[in-house]
Amino acid sequence: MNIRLFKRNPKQPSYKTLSDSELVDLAKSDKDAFGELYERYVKKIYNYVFYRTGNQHDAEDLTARVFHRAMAHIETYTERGVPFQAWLYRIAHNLVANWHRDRGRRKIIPLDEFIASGLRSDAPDKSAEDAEDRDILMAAIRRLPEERQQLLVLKFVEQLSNAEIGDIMDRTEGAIKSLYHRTLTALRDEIEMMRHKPLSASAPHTSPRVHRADESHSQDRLDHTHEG
Amino acid sequence: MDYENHLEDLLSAVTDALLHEDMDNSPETIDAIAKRYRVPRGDVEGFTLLVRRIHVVLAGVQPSPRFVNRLRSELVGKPPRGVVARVRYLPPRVQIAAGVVAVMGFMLFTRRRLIGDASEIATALAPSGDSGEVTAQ
Repeated sequence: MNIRLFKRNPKQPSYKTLSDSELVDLAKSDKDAFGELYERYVKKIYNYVFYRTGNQHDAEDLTARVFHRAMAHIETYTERGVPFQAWLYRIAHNLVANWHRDRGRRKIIPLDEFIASGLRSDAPDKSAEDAEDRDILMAAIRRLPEERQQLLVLKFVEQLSNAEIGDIMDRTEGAIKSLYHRTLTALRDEIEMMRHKPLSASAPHTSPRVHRADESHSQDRLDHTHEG
Repeated sequence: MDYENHLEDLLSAVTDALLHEDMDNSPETIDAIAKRYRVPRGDVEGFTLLVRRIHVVLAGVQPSPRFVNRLRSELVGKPPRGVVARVRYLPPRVQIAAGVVAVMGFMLFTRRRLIGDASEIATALAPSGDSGEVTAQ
C-alpha cells in the first residue's frame, strides 16, 4: 500500500543533476524538464543572438523564437551525433540568417550597443585611445565573413571548446582550429590596415556609428538543422 | 607537424587559457608557450595581445530577468508567483491602470476618513442644546 502510494506520488525528479540527453527524453512529455533546459541555455542563446544581430530587441525576439521552435520540435528530435546544445545553436543560427535575409542583404549593425556591452565593469578608466581601439577592433570583426564572426562569438562570448564549436558549425575540431588561426590572422591584418586610415574611411557607406557587415559570404551552409 | 599546425594548436591553447584566466601576458609565460609549441616568440606575442583584446570587447551580456521570466512562463506555462511579480509581468497599460485605480482608491478612502473625522470634530465642537450648556443667569 505504502509502495503504491509512493509510486502514485513520486518525488519531483531532480532536473539539475540530469544530463542534457536525459532532460531531452523527459522534455518530450514533461514541460518542467524543458524548463530546465531553457534555464541552462537561455543566456547562452541570447548572447549568441545579441552579438549576431546587434540589438536587444531583436535578440529577445529571436531568442524567444529559438525556444518556441525547439519546444515544438523536441518530440521529433533525436541526437544522431548532434548534441542538444549544438541543435539549439543551429536553430539560432538559421533564425539569425533568416533575420538578416528579411532585412535585405544590407546588414546594418549598430556598433553602439556592441561597444557599450563590450565595456567590462572592471575597466572604468578607459581612455579615448582605448575606446578608439575598441571601435577599430569591433569594426574589423564586423567586416569578417559570417562564419568567422560566428566562430569568434562562440569562442569568446559563449566560451565553447573547439569540439563544441565543431558540432555547431558541422566541422571537425581540426578544421575549427585552422579556421580560428585564419580568423585571427585576417583580423590582425584588417586592424593594421584600419589603423592607417580613419575608421569612417575604412567603413564606407555607413553613418559614423553604424557599420555594414560583410555581405559576400552566404549563411546557407548551416541551414540543415536536425530538427527531428 | 609543420609550423602552421603548431601555431593553430598554440592559438587554441592560448585562447582557452586566457578565457579561463589561467594565463597572464608576462614575458616568461609567453616564452614558455612559444618554446612548448616551437613557434617564434614574436608570433605568439602579437596573437596573445589580439586574443586578450577580443576577450575584452566580446564580453558576455545578460538578458533582462523580466524577459527570461516572461519567456519561461510562455514556454512552460507557469505563472509568476506573488502579487508584485504578477503585476510586474502585466502589460504596461494594465500596470498604469492598476496604479491609477490604486491611487484613486487610496485618495477616496483618505478623503472619506478625513471628512468623517472633520465632521466628528465639528460635531464635538458645535454647541449643543441638550447637554453641557452653561448659561449665565
